[in-house]
Amino acid sequence: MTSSILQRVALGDPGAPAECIDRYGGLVWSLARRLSPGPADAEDATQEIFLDVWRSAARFDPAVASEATFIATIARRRLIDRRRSAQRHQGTRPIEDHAAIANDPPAVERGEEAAAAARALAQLPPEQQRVIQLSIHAGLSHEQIVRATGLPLGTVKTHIRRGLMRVRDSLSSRPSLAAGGRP
Amino acid sequence: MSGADPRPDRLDDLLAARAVEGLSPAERDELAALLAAHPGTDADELDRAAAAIDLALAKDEALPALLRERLLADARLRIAPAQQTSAGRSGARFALAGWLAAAACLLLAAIAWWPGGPAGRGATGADVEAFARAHADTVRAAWGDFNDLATGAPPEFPGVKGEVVWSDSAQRGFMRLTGLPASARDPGSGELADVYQLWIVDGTRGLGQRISGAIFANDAASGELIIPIEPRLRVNAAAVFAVTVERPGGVWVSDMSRRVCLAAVGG
Repeated sequence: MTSSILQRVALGDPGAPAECIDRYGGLVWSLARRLSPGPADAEDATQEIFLDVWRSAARFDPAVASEATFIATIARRRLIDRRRSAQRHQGTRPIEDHAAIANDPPAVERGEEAAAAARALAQLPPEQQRVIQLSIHAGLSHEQIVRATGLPLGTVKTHIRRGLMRVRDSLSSRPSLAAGGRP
Repeated sequence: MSGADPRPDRLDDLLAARAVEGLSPAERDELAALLAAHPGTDADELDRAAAAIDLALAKDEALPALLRERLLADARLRIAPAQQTSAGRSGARFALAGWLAAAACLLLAAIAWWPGGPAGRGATGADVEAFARAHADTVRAAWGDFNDLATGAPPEFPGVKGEVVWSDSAQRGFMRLTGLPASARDPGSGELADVYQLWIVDGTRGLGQRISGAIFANDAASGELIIPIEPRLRVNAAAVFAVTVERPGGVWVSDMSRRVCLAAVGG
């Protein structure tokens, strides 16, 4: 049986970490760059994320999520933790930048889960799509989204929660990913 | 999804909030209580949904080569210590998870691993002396406490003894250290909580530009540690060597807040 990269990391395959870094380093770096206040913070965050990946590799279950989703989940958690602890995220980028990001077409080449998420997003009303993109992709806080969109706070929270649940349902309805699990 | 009780909206509210912007301590406690009351809940499903959305929207950026080297250095320190070899020391077994690392850092310059070589793993006191005899410009500098330069405050680990043996022409050398405490490890995972890092001050560059000469760990509480030094960046005239405690993998620029020992050439 061919093991995944993360399974080989967990087993101590000496070549697996480099392979993991080469395959997912660009993904992690792009997340860290986008959700960190500056390049130095992004570098530190990337280092911390991969430490989390090495620690968590043994818990990777391909029946629950793809490697990319598993690693992106770890990365997002770390980045959110860093942002909360630093308390300096607000105002690091102008809202206009996020509007540009929100207009980027979905990149569906990340695998089946990303494609399923993109399809689920596309079925949402445009206003909800934008709120989801501002929150998840641009990393804006609820309050920042309120200022950027003029929507009430309750509406923003509802859009995010229902959007996430819609995507969750699209992922969990896929037979290979129906089981639970945690990175 | 839930136990006997229906899954409350508040649980989804908290899981969604955690997935996009994190929770306050009070909210974390509340979430923990709700999850305990609903043990069938997959607590990570909305986190994975957020990650999948990010994957759908994000575009990769090329990982900087120097950062890649730093990540690899971390991985070598962290992964599969049982498969890695021990490094040389006299008197006591030294296990740096089997890896000796040397990194070079000059402000924004590279950190890179040094995998060994003739003076790499297994270096002994005899190797050090042979090296010194082979290079006429070899200098020796004794370790002393690295007190705070401004306040005179003592280092985190005072009393480390030994010496640095260094050759500018060879661009390498050795550290001999006794009395260096064992590196801290996380009690839960057993992973290194921090490492030691050697900094070289080049007399032609000034104090502000410190070159990283080695990143190492110490798993033994006693005995002499012999660590090779081989910076990737050129040291024109080594003037001062200093050891600090840094996070695993080392750092590019140290704030020198966790000082250990210092050796001044001719000092």
